[in-house]
Amino acid sequence: MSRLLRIRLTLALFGLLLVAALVGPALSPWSVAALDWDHPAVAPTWQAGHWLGTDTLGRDVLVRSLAGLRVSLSIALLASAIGLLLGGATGALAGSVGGFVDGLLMRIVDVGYALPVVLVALLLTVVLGRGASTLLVAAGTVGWLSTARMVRAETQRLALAPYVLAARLIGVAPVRLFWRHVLPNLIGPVLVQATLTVPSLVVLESFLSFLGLGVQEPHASLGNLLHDGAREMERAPWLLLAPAVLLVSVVGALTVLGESVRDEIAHAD
Amino acid sequence: MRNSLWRLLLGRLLFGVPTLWVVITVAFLLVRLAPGGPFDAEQRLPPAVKANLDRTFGLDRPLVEQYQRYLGRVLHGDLGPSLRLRDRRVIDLVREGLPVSLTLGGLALVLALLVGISGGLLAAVRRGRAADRVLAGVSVLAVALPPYVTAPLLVWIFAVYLGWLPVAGWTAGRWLDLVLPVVALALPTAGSLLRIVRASALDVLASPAIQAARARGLSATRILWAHVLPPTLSPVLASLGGAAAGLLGGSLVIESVFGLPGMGRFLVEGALNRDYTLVLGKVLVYAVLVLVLNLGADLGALLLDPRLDRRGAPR
Repeated sequence: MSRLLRIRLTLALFGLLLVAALVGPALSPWSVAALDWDHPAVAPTWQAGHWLGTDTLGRDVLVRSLAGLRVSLSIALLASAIGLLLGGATGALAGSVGGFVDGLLMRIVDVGYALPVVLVALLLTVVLGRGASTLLVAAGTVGWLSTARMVRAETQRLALAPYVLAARLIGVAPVRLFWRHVLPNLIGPVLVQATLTVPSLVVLESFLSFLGLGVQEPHASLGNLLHDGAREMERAPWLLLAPAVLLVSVVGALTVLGESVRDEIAHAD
Repeated sequence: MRNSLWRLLLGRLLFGVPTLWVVITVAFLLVRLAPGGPFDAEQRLPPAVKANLDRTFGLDRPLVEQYQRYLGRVLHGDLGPSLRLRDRRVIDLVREGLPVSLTLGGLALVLALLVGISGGLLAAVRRGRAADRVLAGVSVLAVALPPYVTAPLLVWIFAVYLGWLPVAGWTAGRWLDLVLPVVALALPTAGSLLRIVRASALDVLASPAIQAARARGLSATRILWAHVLPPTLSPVLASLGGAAAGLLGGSLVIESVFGLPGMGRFLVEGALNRDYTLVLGKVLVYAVLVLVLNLGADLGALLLDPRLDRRGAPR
């Protein structure tokens, strides 16, 4: 499969999932928290209108899974944005100023890398309590590290590029040099980084919610749906399978997309 | 070689000690800034009882003094008493849980390395053929499937449906108990290692050194083991520290799914009901583990690739 085709296919799959997550729950007669007393824990069926079955309380699995995907994706996207901004700013500062500032900021990043993500999230949960906002902070805190390193390296590389040296030679002031000449060329790599950050944060979100530290009932996220599904596995496997399939497709699509785009750019140079 | 080994060790020590100090301090502050305390219960305790409890555990002192006392105790290898689990010391809890977690994580790492390296080499050698495509698909799946999804699926298939392996539980010496947890934990790491090894091996295979080895008429097996494998492993070692940290996090979930008495036990509950000393102690042990694992990975990289020696110790 050619790389371009792969990019198109994964982009299409991601788009499809995104639309389904955004529009899907609104199209169904059921809502996320609605209980169908007549059909608790039914297997996937056409008759009752629960295409993917219901959970033990009679809530529609399809609607809950799609709503869960929406919550998980929103958290991952927002946290990536936070991480990219924070990491980008740190990396650009360290890379362009250099010296003491650079050393200090990079040591902070090193310390951050020395901590398992889960523990950071755990500590934050203690302080901020459980819920979506804690997840955001935790995921953002974690997401900025790799971005900071990448942007710093890229800034240092660009600072030595002939056109930047030429601009310096004709007397462009440092701040203007950064905004006009370095920053525009940082956007590309940062966007590629984003496509790889988002899937890892989707996994992180579901991981924390699975442990009971993230999104709480009655709200759905892929993580707490998987947790409930894992508990009912023997009697109602569809409770696990529906969110699992969604998680794998969205993470798989984004990972392959990010890697293909990165390779495409690397080979285009 | 000896010289740079010492420089690496010294550098790591110089970095490791302040890192641990930062970890302790930040964790201490975060935990203490949190609202609520370890003795908040459904039924409010009589004030006198609560004051007594606070005094017993030194929680009535100013925060700075508590911090100093905690640091002093940690330096003496004492992580303090658990605030919620009566009559348990945190160090004992660590001593009980650590062997289980290390066995689980160690076996998973070995399995992931075996599968990842052999699979990656196979995919690189058979580039573009059926084996490569199958492995590519499987590895994306393995990476995208977190252990908390694979674990229940594996349990369902092998324990409930086929009945070959135990569903959950842990009895010392019963190795069958370990099979499913180890496999579930190893899968994502194996998948990402496989992708790294494949990319790295393709680079190596395209290098002039391999062409030269072929031209000298060396057998394909010899080329693979003696000339392709060692340089292929460099990026694997570089990623190993991160992989090990990932396994530590994953083991938290695996332990809870399979009911294993490891390091993760009581940790989530401890965080939720403000067992300060327990959370701090376990976080500290995890941080030490990650630092040690990273050091191990760097030492391995140095031994495998002597060129790093000339360039100085890797960071």
